Amino acid sequence: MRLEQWPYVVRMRLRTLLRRGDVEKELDEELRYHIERQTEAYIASGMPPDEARRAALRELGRVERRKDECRDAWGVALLDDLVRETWQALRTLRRDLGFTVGVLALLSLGIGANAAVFSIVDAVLLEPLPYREPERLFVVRERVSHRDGATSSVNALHYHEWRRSCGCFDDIALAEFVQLMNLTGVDEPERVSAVRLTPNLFSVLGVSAQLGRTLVPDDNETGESPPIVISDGLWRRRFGADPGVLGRTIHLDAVPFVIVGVLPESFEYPLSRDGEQVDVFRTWDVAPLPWWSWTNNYSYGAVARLEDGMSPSEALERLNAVQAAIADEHFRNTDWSAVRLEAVLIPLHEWVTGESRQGLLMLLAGVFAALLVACFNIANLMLARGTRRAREAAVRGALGAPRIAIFRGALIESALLGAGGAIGGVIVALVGIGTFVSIISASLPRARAIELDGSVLSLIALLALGSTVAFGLLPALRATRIDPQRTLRAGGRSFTDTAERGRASQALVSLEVALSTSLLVIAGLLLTSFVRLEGVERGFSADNVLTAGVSLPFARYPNDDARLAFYESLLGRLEQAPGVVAAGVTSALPLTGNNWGSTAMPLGVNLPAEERPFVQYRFISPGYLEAMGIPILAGRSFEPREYGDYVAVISERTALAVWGEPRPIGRRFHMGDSDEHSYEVIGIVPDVPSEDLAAVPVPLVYVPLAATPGLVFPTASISVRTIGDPIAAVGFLREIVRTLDPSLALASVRTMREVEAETLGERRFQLVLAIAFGGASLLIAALGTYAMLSYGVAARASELAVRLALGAPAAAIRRLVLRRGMRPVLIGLAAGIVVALVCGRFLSSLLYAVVPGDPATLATVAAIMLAAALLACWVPARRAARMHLVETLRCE
Amino acid sequence: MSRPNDLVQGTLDLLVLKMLDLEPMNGWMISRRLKQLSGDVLQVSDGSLYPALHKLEHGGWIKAEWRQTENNRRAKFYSLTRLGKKALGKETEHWLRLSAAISHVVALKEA
Repeated sequence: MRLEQWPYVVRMRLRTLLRRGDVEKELDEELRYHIERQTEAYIASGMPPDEARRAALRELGRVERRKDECRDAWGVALLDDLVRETWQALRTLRRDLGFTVGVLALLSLGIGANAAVFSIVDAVLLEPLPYREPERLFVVRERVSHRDGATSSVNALHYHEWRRSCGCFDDIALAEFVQLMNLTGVDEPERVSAVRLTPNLFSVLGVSAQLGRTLVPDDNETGESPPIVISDGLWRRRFGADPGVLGRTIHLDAVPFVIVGVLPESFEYPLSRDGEQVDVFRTWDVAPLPWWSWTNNYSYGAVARLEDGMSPSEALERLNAVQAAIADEHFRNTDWSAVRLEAVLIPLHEWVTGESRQGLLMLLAGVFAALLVACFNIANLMLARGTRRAREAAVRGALGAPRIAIFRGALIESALLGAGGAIGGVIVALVGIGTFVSIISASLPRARAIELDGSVLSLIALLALGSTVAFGLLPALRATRIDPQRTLRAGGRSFTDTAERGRASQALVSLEVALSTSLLVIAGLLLTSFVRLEGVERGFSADNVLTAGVSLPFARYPNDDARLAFYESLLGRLEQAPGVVAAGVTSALPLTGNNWGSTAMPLGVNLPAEERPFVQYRFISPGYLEAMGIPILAGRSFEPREYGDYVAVISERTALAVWGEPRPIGRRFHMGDSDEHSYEVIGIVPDVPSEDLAAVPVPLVYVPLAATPGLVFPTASISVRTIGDPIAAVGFLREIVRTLDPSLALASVRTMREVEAETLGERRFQLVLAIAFGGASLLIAALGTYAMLSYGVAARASELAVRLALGAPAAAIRRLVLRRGMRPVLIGLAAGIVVALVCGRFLSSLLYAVVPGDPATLATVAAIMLAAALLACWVPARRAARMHLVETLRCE
Repeated sequence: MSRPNDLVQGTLDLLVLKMLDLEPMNGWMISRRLKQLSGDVLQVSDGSLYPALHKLEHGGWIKAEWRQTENNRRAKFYSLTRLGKKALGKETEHWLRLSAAISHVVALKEA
């Protein structure tokens, strides 16, 4: 065809395809016109009307034949066939709605879940870290043999020795732990996370700034306005991505710093715990303090870049040689002479991904198993259906349909299913990733890097499409090769070994049920744990409580009096605020961890240091117990102005642990080693969980925050109990803090309910995951059972119909089918429970107040499983019992 | 020997193009005009005319539009496209060359 023809041809074909009705009508009208006109012409020449019409028709030939010839000229015959067959396939798929929905659901779940999980695994575990040659980066940790085998952070003295004499690293960088600081000098004050590190960290990682520069070895922290580098996040959040930010002075805890650079968006600080983001990077000179002040201080993170070509094992050997020399030099002739010092090198990637690695790999394995089962199931469904339709194919073949047409029909149907499944899969994957990231972003490193991986998705979709088409074509291929006569004579069954196929699909059903049962049991156990945890006695009342953190910079609050004055005036104003029932400050909120543990020594008892009862102290203002809703069980609470008296309120557990009696009111004790003052027990309160709802509460002692000199904490949590929604208090809380000190910022403003929810976050994630997989597997198992049984019933249709016709009661037929369906289900159920019991042992750390063999959970899961299976069996069983002999035989 | 009124393959297209070059016509008019003009020598069968018209239309050489006929009925009128005019010129030239050559050959007498 010539190029210049294309515009016409394309226009004509499009019109033919899209306005087919019009085109056909025009063809009809054109030919009719010809016949009428010709008839008139003959009549005009004197022919009788009848004869004239016959002559006109004769000249044209067979009208339908002419039309076909014209249609051939339109050049859309193949497309026509495809369109017609696609419609045909869609009609067939709609007729078998159960089958279609089943396959689509299986495909979507299989493709979507796999693509989602693989994208997550890919982002978290497989993607290289955004540093230069990340495989040469290692985290260095130390192991000191007199401590338990665990590794610890690094000693700064040792760090200097490694840099000086190891000779196996390009360089090593050292960093302090991340801390929160008050950022001022830009609009609202804010608490930001900051870290001090040796300025070579950026060259070790191989990261350069997106704006300005990173820290360089010449930078130091002393002098006027030391340089800092800020994160992309802070730059956008606080400075509106202003390129003029370089050279600006900001204040951190009232000390001025100059911004010299902004890090790229992809930068993640590798040494923080739990993937915590860091906003500000300060230089650290690792001051040459006297060595004794360092000796027992293992608290710093270290990252090393191995020299090119150096193997990790060789580097470790050299590092340990240096360690031995250090031990030799510093420990000899001391109590520590027997102590051995070692170093450990952990690939940075492994360090960053940490514990999530194992969980994710398990997740991947689980999802992959689910995909496999789903694929088996699809194969089973497609084969069962294909076999049923082999007869149809044979009939069409016998009637003269070309093989290619039969084949094309099956292909189109499978491709439609595969394409639908792929689309569903994309949706499932997108929703899955979104949900996953929103649930866990806080607890998963590199969660920001998660996005749907297009290549993975297309690969999996292609696989699923391929398998669908392959399984769909297999029966069609057989059918077209088969001698139609034989197939028809045998009623469409002869070429499949029904018994063998039946056994295989029964085994498959057992497998699916077992997998689903064990997943459901695990989900059930997690759910029970979760519900019981939610119901745990907390000892406080989280409703209507707002909390916020505040930290007082040392520069302006250098002593106890200054800090106490701030707290007193803050609380005084808060209590006057509208809707406030009570307000208080504490050194640590419930569920947020412990930060001050020491011994409590009853007066008049003298125990050696290691036998003294160890308790956690809370330094609180008088209103705190009321604000947190911690009830006094006996005795009294603090008086309103009781900030500095030697009195204490203790938890029930403390009473038993220290005095061995439940109500030791009026008894006295010493805090820690100090025997200067003793505290008097004035009240007893219930136990309050301090770290995790699941943990056994530790003994707590509440003392007034200013009782002990030098212990008025600069960092405290404020809690405000309100009459209505505590969020309403955010506004005036900020306002009051601003009036007292405009440079102070509030951190983590949350309701106590949110604090609770956060401690349950990890468990909620596990629960959501287990329920999602359990539910999906239940669906898969039910579909599998249904497919297996439907096929069985269809294959035995004539037998069942004959039985019914000969007088077998419908109920008996139903029972027969149900029994056949439920047998593999029961086997799978038993196997699944055994698997769950075995796996449960590894889960015990995730469970709370429930044992892996919990009878209620097992019974519930068994009931759900049986109900689903019965439902899946009921439909084919009912169909079997309604079989009508004549209809069935006519169909045959 | 073939019957005299059998059209040489492909010449139907040429004849149709030529007819339409004179004026836009519908199928019946083309059929009638061909019979008249050729003095009934060229017996174009009405059966093969319409597929040929559709082929030409879908190939872009002629275009169709529905018009009122003289006795007030709707009929499909075909006319040449720019492409069809070009094709007609080329085909005519080709045909003349071919028929001249054939005439020349059949007119040869034994020397």
